[in-house]
Amino acid sequence: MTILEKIKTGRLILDGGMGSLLQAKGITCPSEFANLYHRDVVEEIHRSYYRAGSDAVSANTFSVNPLRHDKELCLQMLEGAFQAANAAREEGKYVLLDVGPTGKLLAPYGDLSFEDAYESFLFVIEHSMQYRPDAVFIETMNDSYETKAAVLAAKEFGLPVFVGNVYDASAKLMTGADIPAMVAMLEGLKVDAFGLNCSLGPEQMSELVKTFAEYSSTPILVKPNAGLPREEGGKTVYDVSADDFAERMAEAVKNGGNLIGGCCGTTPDFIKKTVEKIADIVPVLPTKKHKTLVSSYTHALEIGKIPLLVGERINPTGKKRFKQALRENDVAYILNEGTAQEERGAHILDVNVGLPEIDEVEMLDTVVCQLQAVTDLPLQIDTVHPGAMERALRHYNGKPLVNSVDGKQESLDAILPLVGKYGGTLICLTMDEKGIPTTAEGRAEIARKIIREAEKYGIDRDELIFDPLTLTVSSDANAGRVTLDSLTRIKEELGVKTSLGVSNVSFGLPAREMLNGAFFLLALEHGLDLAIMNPLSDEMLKSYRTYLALTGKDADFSGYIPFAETHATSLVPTGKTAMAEEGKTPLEHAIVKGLKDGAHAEAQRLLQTKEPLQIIDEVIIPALNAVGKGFEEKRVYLPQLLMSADAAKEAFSAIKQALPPSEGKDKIVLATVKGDIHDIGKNIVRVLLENFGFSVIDLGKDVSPEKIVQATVEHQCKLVGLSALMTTTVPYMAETIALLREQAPFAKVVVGGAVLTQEYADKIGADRYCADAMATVRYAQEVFA
Amino acid sequence: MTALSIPVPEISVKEVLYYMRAGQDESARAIAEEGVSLVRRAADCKIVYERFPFSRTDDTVTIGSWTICSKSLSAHLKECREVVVFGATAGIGVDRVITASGNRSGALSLAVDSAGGVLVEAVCDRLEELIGGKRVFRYSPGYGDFPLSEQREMANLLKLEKTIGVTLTEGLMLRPTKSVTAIIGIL
Repeated sequence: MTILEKIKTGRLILDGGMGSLLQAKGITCPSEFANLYHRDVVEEIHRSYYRAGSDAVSANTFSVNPLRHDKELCLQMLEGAFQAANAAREEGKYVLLDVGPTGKLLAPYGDLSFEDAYESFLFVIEHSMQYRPDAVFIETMNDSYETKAAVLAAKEFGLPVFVGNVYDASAKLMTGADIPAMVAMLEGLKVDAFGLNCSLGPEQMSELVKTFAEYSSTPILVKPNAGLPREEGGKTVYDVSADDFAERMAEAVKNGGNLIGGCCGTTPDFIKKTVEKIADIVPVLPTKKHKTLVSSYTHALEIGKIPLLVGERINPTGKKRFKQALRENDVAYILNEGTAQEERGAHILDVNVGLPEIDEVEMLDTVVCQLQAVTDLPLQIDTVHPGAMERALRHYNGKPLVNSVDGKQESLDAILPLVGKYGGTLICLTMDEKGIPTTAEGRAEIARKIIREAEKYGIDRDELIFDPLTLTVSSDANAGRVTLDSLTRIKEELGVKTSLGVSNVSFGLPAREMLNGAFFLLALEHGLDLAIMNPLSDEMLKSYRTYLALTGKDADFSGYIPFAETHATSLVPTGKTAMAEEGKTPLEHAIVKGLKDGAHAEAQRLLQTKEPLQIIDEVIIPALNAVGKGFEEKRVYLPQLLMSADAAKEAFSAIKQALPPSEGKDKIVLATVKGDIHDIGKNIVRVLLENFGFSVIDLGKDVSPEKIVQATVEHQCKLVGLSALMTTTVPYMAETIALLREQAPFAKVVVGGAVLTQEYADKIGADRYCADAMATVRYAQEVFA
Repeated sequence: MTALSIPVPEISVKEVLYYMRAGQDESARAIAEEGVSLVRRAADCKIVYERFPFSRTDDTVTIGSWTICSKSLSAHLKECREVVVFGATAGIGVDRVITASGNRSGALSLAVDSAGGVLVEAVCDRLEELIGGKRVFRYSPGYGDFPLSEQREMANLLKLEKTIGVTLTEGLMLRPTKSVTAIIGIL
């Protein structure tokens, strides 16, 4: 019987702790070294687990990873570990390759890239294949993203994959994911069994198994610690006895646990007693849950319960400003489009950055990863470029919505394999080679074809959401009717979820928002589950909030009332927010006082009488100068300076819409140097430089010297700003400067950051040290004068 | 070794304003409060600590098999009979709100970053309360001549990754950012 066949019976007994047993036998070196020096002891421990009733033991490879030890040593450790495990292996029993975490935190919050993590796991798994493990057991993972990297590596070799994640008492991973989020992601990746290990005792875990059983259609793995550790006479002891452990594990099994074992502090005795205790309990086989889930790195959303909003604003179609942002690599603008929609209540964000003249693969990857640093909303990856789709799906932390596939064979062949591999809930457009059928039946027929094709790639219909397509009523007065009928028909006949891009319906007609809002309301009543719409539109939100309130889907009006309140206030004229002080225009006042809303409104008001450039030169820049001067003279403090900068930014955003896209501005490259992940200081400098009219190419944090030089040369920047917080990263700053001198001798270099001083700056060959952001602005003005 | 999750301690707005270098300027109070509330919601405070006997020479401090070459640390612990080695973190959620706010507003991101700093210090204070007794102030790698490179040894000793989810970068910085490791001498 293969290990997967064994799991289908509903039960597989795993082993217990290794490290604590090695210690008990007097071996004090880290466990993985025991593979080299005490192979016989490792083998004996495996044997004792098999004797205790384990069906599978984990080879002693938990800490074997090229990020922890050098590769040659890793290979020796793997060899030793598998020699021990395979020598102990009994007929009909199994050996697992055990894969533990790298010990590093992945980007964007740590300094390990997803692909480097993937490569490190790939190395271990690839070099273990010769020892013929029965499955890969990825365990003790406290980060969803690292888990995904390991699973993708394991999937390369066709072995069954099991995953154990570390949940804390609040049922979350260290990096934030809850159980439904992990279920969504791991089922999307087609992991063969997953659940919990380490950290918690059996009693707490047994409770959490219930949550797994509610969401998961996959066998559940339970490997608790022997309770909580404490020190006793210099030794770590755990507070749950083998008998109590077995008792609690019986509960876990009744709650749905299938792969049963122990983690830290458990011994063969724990396993033996557990096996005896659960012998008479009939295994609970996992059942299909038929939930349509999407997830981020924190939470999952279930589609089909109440209708959800997908914000459509991250999309260049018909948006001049957005296209400009894409061309100028202005990711911050795009991220702001995301957070603005989140604030308006979007549940999911659509991400489309397709523009013929940019590298969409790179851009989509960047935007998806950076959005996941600023919002925890699940994302909908929207591209017609299969290469861009694959990279984004690979690097997405969670299970995304995928937009989209249609009935054309070419589309099915390109997209379905990707969703099959990486997981995702797929938007399916009911059109094919012949176009969009004009009848509801025609669209339902295409839907049936897509369902059949998806099954070939192991994609269940629960994973499919059908979009019957909205056509504009101005070209066919019946178009709205057909779309609404198709919606009902596809949903009822095929039992699938539905989505619509609502806004198309009004194309070519005046007062589009009014029509969109009404059509949205109709679509909701016809069973729409997912609306791709503009959350900044009041009409759309009115339809949504009132619909939920009127149909019992917002029973306590907790969605409606706050919306109604903000809506009421938005009708009050806002002109009085910034009262002018003597001798100052209201806009100047708003900027000096740091009033964001006031600055926006006043800038708009001024546009009625003044030219945009006039406002910038005569009002905004003088106001900023006044605040900047106050800061230099220590009358104004840093927060005030930044609040003024925020207000000025608001004023600019109001004015920018009236400005032609600017060309040939003074460009400055900014970066926090390699190895350093502190970027608040650099960000403050960026905000102020932008305020003063400079165009900033912000390369972010932890940026290699090569990348900085490349950007400097590409944009012919006369000024480069480098930031470092730690003494350990200053050498990279020196290295960057040296490389700049060699390849971009035209550029001046200004440095800043907590550890820098004028002396330090001189030593590493910078042109200037600036102690704060205003000083940097002044220096930039000098350079570009 | 004791590893605990603790409730989010009070974050003093006054302290946050001080970290923000707000001087006497009260106009930043509202934004400091917003920063505090964002950080409070995102925080997940964890601590790990262990008491150890130690020995010292003028140039070194030895804890078990770990010898730290540091005159300043040795002098600092002169009167002490044992040490507590600890790690504390405000959690990865705080890094997320720092990044997210940085995108929205410079002032807010300064407030959030500062609130995170105040929070992790408050977590350390809470830990010191738990330790009790008479103590000298906490001393971290990178301070005085206590080499930053000892951060690795700290991480191994306290199993920081496993106990409180704190990892080291190549440059020996702690991730999540708002984390502290230190040695406290017990008098």
